[in-house]
Amino acid sequence: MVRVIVNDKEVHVPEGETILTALKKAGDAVPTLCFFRHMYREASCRMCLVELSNGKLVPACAYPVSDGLEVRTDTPRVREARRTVVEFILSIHRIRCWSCPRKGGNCELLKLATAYWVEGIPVCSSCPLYGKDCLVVKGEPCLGPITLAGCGDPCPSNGSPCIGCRGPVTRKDVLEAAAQFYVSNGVELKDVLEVASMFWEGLPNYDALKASLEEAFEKALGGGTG
Amino acid sequence: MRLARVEEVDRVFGHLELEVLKDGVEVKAFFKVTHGARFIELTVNGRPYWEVPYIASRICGACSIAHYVASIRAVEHALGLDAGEWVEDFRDAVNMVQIAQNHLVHLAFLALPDYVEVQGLSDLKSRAGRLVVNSMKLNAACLKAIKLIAGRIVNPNTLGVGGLLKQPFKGPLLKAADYLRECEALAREVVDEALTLLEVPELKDPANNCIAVRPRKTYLTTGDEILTSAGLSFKPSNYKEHLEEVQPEYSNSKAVILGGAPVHVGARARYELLRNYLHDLNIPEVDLGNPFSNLIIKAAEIPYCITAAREILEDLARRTADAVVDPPRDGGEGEGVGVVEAPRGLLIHHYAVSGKRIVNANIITPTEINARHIEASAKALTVSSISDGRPLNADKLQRKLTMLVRAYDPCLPCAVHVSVVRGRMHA
Amino acid sequence: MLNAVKEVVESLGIPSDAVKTVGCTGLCYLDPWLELKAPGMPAALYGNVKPAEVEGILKKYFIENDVSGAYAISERTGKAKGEGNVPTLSELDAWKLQVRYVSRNCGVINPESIEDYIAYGGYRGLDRTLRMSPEEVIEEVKKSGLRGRGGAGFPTWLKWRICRNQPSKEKYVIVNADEGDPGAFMNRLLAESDPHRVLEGLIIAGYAVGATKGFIFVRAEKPLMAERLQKAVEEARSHGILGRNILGRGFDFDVEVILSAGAFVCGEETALIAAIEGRATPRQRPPYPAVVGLWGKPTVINNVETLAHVATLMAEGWESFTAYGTKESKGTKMFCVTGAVKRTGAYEVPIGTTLRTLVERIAGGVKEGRKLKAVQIGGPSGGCVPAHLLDTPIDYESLRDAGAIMGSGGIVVMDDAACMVDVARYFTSFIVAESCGKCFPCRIGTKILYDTLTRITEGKGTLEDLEILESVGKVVKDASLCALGGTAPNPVLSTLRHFRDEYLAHIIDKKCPAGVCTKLLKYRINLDKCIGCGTCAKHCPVGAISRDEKSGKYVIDQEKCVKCGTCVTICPVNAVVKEV
Repeated sequence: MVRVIVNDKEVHVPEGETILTALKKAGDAVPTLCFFRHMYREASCRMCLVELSNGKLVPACAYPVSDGLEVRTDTPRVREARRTVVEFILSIHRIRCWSCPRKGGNCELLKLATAYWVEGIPVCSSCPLYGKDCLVVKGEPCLGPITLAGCGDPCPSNGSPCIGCRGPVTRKDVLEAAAQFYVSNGVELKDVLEVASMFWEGLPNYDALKASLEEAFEKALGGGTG
Repeated sequence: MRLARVEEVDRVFGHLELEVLKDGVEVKAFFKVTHGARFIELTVNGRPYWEVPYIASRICGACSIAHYVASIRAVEHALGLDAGEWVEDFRDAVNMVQIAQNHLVHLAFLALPDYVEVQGLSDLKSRAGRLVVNSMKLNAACLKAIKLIAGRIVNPNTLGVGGLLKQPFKGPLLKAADYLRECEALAREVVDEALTLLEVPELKDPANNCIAVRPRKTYLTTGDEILTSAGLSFKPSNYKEHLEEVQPEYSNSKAVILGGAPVHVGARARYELLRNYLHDLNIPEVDLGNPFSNLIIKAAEIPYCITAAREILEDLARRTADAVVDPPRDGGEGEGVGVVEAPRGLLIHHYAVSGKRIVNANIITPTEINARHIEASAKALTVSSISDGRPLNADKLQRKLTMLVRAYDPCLPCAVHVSVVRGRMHA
Repeated sequence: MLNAVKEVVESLGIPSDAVKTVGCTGLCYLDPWLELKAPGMPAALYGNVKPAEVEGILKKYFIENDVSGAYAISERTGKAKGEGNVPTLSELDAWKLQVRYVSRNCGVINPESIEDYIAYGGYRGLDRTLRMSPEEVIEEVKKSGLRGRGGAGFPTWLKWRICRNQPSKEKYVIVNADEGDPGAFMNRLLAESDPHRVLEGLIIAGYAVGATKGFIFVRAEKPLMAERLQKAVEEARSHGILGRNILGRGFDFDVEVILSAGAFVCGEETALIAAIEGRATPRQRPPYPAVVGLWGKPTVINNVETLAHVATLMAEGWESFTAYGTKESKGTKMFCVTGAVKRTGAYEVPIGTTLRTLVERIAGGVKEGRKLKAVQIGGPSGGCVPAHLLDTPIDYESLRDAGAIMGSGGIVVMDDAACMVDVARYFTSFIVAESCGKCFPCRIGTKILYDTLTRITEGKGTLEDLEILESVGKVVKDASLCALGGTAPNPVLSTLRHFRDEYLAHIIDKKCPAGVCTKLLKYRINLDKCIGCGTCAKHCPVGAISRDEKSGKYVIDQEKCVKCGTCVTICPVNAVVKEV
């Protein structure tokens, strides 16, 4: 057995194990994305990074334990690294939460984004209404597709369309896709803007947002490629 | 000559300055609300009428349900809509749970420290630890119930103009009732312990004028008539004939007078005017002429509200919910006033609707109504503690004045919903 | 040029076998060069020889016995002083400041002849090695203090010892001849000019760790290098230096040359191993290749130059190596100096030599009329050292403190005509293209760095972009899986550190002080020169040039101009100027 010190707590794990085993034993979890027990241990997602006493950041899922190894799971550097990795993932992620099978509580990315204070994922990702139950599908100007997630969706969950409390999603590609979604369900731009203006009109980027939405709807109505 | 000044009154919601001056022979007190103006009355102008509840509920995070309900009723009156009895009872239940929860938080964490002579919450825990812990448990239970029936802890989303926004099911109603039932005994315990600690100072109310909403059913259910201590009663739509709004230039909040004199609202006012509607409030002996006793009545309202709300919810679950779900948005023409007993007292929302849009709005919050009355009481308190024109103990006076303010439980963010344009009132 | 030489030699009646093709000396600024030796005459070196000049040069030397006009007299003559106005090489800074420990044969021997190598003392190191025990060999290398010359600077003896101590019967040694840094050619020079030295080092390494098979991993993009190494292997085999019972000492070892497809990431040792196994992506370390490497077996990977040093020091003894260098890093290192210098080439100097010596004295400094601005060391993984830090000694620690890395030895000199933001962008673009894609930080983060840099060079940068570069750069550095990602932000971070003003000029003033970033330049017609022909206006793709009625001359509308540069090239009187 090998002695590992996890966040100043001592645990013992069998030799040959990785830091991740020690973390689990100590009860200090770290997020993992690409780790899948014995099947995939490539340490490529870099979410499970922990900080060693020499300052190096190493992936817990692949780094072997050694006697006396000191590991920290929640230092500022490690948190910054994880947060930036989530931002990276989000920057290339194709955001279509309203039609994603992981919506309604299964989205790992939303969980990580929430845990590391990264904004940009729309309300639809946690909203439990799906398919025919979705308010947009019913033709309502629910702002879910273009509002930032994080409130727990009490409004759509209660049958009330999202009114945009947490502020807008501003990424152009998401707005374009959302416009497509709205248009294909018969929701008009003017209705969306009417609701949006209630809480967003005072925002400094409101004019730019409005312009983006107008462009997005134009594109969607003009029959652009999907 | 300044007799007392508290630049920032602590343990109240929002920012407030209190000053008492001697102007010649006269003592004058000033309730200066320094909280920034919020222009809610302007904001709703031009918006679709069904959005008003969303905006109104955001006037205050503590009493968002009261604003929500009052604004809905006002718009309904303007459009001539009737949501039906089931919905009105449902609104009552939701409102009552919030009243209980609001009173609890104010009492246990804002007012109580004065009476166990500590300054803040961490000290309070060491002096009245069990009370603090129980209060938190009680608070949590109330919030759970609110979340189930109002949809969210603040800014509810289950009610709409003309009905409900979502189909009600028995399950959540009964579950919320369960949460309340489970904490009824705890509520009793908390209140009993709090009351032993609440040895309020003595003070004679200089102008015992008060108003409250006459309930259509039991104590604290809503209604459409306002009662005054002078024996008058008037319809909410006529409020302007009786209540005058003034704008003191030293405050960001309006103030209200009834028949030219200060008037108070709140638990004490309600008890004074409506105790006949009670079946059991269980109050110890209390001097209703003492502004401080507002705290005692508030305490007593907590277990009452919890029980009453529970009963209403259980009853609602038994009945058929004949309510309009997802009411149509046809609009109309008209003006309407909705009133509700908010935790702090009478709350008035007044809207004019044309087509589908709001074209005029006026809101009067309980703290605004109390503003002048607080000044009058503060004056009385000061006068009784000076001798030879000087305070006997300046620090003690200041402390007592803040305790007096807290007895009214003012909510300053609510009070500054007004729009003030060069001193001119908007509405 | 070689053909011209052969022709002239024939015509002069000189036997044809007197013409010997050799490798490169490293004095690349002299290429193509010629060395002539007649009995009784000093050996003379002629540089930048054009085919048409060959006849004249040969005649002058062989018939007139006149060395004037030569670049220098080769030091092998043993002469201390030159003749006339022809100096000896050892009088020239470009030569005398070098210590040609491993590069001694480059430009002297025929790289395709094992006999030549042996005649010049080759394979003595192997001979001596096989008389020692493997442990003794490791001890010798340890005493020398040799550190890996590929860039990481890991103690070679330690890597060998770890591998040796592994219980596995099957072990491998690999030469990393991938040399991916754009513009770096030290390894190529060594392998093309003296391949047997490298091979000798590999066999010694195999003996020391107990391997039976070695690999030479060389990129197909350097075909001559691959060819010469392959030939060396074949020759060694036919001479009993590879195969069974090497030199009769009972040591079995063979070598295979493997061509790589040219991915930069293969320079990283775990990716190199993975490439041999089939797919080049790096792996998390630990475990290190010396413990778990090729096909799971203990594997040592050494750089070309490292092995050249091994062969040399085993032949001459470890003291020959420690005679040079600093306390922490003994020995010499080869550096390729390219860019805005007078004498580009590959030079071998003791570690600890200052950048100034290498850049200004050996490589001749920047060209006339220009000012030295920065020195980029370590390729795309390295950093830029500004001119005022030119006295930094070239050793692992000092360079790291200056914000750069030793790397494999590629040095690019930049003068005031270089834009540091553009330099950072260039190196980052290389990394973006070469990122293997396995981990998020490198795959996405480097692209973000690149896009941000591009925006800045186009005048669309904001101050926030500087924060983005720093914070994203930091995470890419900290969180990447392998050293490619881990060093990718170095160009950006080092230029931000030392040349922040230039970034600010691009962002705030929307100017490129060096006049490189085309989108920030203003194209202006010099009205004194303009003849009013209108050719520019006719060819302007966006119609930004119009005729001023009063003067009859033409004017460019700055708002419309897209900085394509067509007008500059097309103007018959060169009236269009680029302004910063």
